[in-house]
Amino acid sequence: MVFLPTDADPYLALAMADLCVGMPFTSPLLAGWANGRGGIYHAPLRLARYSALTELALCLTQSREELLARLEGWSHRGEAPHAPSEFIAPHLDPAQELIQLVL
Amino acid sequence: MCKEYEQTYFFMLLADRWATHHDVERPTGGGAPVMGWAAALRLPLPPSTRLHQSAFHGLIDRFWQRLQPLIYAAREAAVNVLSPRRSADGIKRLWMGNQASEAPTRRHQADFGFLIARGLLDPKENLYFLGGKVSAEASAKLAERTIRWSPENLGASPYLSYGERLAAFLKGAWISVAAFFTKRLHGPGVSSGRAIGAVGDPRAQAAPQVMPDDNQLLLARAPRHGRHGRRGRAHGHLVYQRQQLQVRGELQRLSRFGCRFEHGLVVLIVWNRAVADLYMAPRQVEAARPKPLVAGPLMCGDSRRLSKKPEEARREFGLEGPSMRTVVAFDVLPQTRATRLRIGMGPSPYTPEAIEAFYGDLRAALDRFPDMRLLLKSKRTLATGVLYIPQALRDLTDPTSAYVLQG
Repeated sequence: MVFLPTDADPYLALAMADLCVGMPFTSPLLAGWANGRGGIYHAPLRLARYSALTELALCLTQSREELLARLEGWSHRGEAPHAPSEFIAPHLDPAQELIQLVL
Repeated sequence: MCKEYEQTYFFMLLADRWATHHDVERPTGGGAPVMGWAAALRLPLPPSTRLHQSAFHGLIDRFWQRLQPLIYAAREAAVNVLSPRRSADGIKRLWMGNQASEAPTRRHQADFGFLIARGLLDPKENLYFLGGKVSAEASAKLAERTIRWSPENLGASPYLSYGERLAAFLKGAWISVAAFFTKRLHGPGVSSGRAIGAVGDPRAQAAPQVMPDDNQLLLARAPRHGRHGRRGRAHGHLVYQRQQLQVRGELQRLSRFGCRFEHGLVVLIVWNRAVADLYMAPRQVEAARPKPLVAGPLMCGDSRRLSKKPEEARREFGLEGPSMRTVVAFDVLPQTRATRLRIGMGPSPYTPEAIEAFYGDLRAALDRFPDMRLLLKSKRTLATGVLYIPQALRDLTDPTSAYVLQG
């Protein structure tokens, strides 16, 4: 277990990840999915059970058992969970994209 | 006591009738005087009824309710009008910050610091609005980084001429006085005195404006030839948000700075398609539907790092061990109850129980999969006492724990 400095670049943490686990709808996982990293939104108290996106189940676990089962599948069978296409952004460098679009 | 009892009694009665009688009129706000409620209920009070709170009390209450925002508006307007003038030369965009503690003065390049670090943004071209109290140390660091900033409560006022400020003051005063008498325009964006900033600085408006916060969800750009096209002004607005439901509040915040956000919006830049759908769904009229562009999430950091393979990134960081699969956890630590009460915040959807269970489950995963390495990237520092730190996270980060010692 390694604890990264809280002010570390979040992209650094993402870059080192084979898989990300985050609380529901947090941004790093969106960036991870856009760049080919697997990711799981883990909502142990079923915070995200009313989402309109049914495909969200692809990347959502809502109990310890579900999380462990999903990690088991990833660890042994290489099934990295990915998000529904609506969650995945097309641009690999959004900062550059933003500059071109707005600034 | 009598007054409170009467208020509660009539309120409950009103609530009861409101649900079943559509002809019941709506009283004027939550603090409506008791006689107003009785009238709204069309309640046939028996002649022998003697109310503790008279109609005169109600009149005073109502007058005071409307006078308060007017006083506040006058105070804000005075500050806006009298603040020393500053030069707007070279400012190409306005950038809305969140609070002083998140100003880009520190190593982690918060707010737009990461864009400066990458050479994508010249800080001298930004006017940075910063809320909260800015310490002398933070002010010095901002100056050191050549970041031009202004207190949020002043809006664009310091960059206007005194004549422009007077015109804005008269406009704001008119709106506030109208609100006082009509109660129809009563609202924080109008009556708080921020109307003085609603005129904006024409020189700053001559270039696209950018107004982000520390977390971003929704970005938007208004048309170059929209409502202000006749004057040759262009508007561009950028809103960073952490929760979808807070977008509305952020738009209100923008309105203080003269941003007519939704009217004439042509481009909506969002993190992902789901957010665009959320924003567009209630806008059924074609003219009210901006074109969505999905740009991807934009965090404070260098997104180019993601072009590396995980093994390569780990090797550069000094994490060896090819057989270890690496899981990175990102959290949202909730504020403690004491902190929330101190700053008047309601509970977060990310509750202490949720974060406790989140880290408890990660610890269980570490126990189950010995070949798994866990990297924790907590969003906030654990040492401030402001945030709730779950016991499972303390266990995981304890330097003497087996989890840490195994690496």
